[in-house]
Amino acid sequence: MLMSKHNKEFFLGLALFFVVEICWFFALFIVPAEKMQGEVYRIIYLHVASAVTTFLAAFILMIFSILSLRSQADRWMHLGRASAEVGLIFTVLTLITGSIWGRPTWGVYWTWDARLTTTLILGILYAGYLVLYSSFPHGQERSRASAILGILIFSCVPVIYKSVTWWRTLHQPPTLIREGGSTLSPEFLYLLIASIFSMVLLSLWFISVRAKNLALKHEIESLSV
Amino acid sequence: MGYVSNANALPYLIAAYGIGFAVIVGYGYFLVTERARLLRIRQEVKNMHEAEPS
Repeated sequence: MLMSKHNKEFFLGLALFFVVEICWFFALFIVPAEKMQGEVYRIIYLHVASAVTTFLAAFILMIFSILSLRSQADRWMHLGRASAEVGLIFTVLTLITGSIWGRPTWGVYWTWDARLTTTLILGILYAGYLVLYSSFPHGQERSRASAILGILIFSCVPVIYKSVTWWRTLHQPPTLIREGGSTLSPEFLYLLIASIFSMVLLSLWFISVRAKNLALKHEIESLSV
Repeated sequence: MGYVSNANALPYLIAAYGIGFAVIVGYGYFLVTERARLLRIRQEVKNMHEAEPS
């Protein structure tokens, strides 16, 4: 019997989940400890992957917002809404994991430094997008208002990224993309890239499924009228 | 950056990865069950429309 498209989608998600878990297994049990931070540095594989996913979600949100301003098609709105939701989830995860990592390394769970503060602002903007989306009924007004905010949200991303070089911060400077190449040893670097890649793929699956669910919901509402 | 002894790292690692796991599994579960629920509702609405007298 042929697998239905829903089952195929489910098994794809399951496969991506296992890839993420394999990366975490390597992060926790295989790669060696770091010279300065010891074992606690292993949070990097989750924290950085979540942060990259957050930035990617903002970029995707911007693209779908531009598309929805141009064509008003429902699917762009659903994809935008899904991107904002996934972006918010991973922003919260970034802040929580960063906070947990901060306690043993900086001595505090939170500080109002540039990187942490700008990331928090991004999370608030994502939440604001979801509230704005919900406050309008389906239609052109919702589409336009959400799309404008969706485009503005992406403007935070370069500020967050450059915050560690523009201002004096507690947060460490870039380790991956920097002049002279990454400061990480190869055994750390390859796993970090794999962790980021797997988390990004999983988040794209989340966005796709959530957008389809929103479209299904809209279809049901149309049928019920 | 300060040095943290290996013995103290375990609670932080469990907390971070535990929360990460819960978030990913929780959201994935929500998406899958939401899809199943919506498909069921859509089918019920379609059945209702088909059952209505013309």
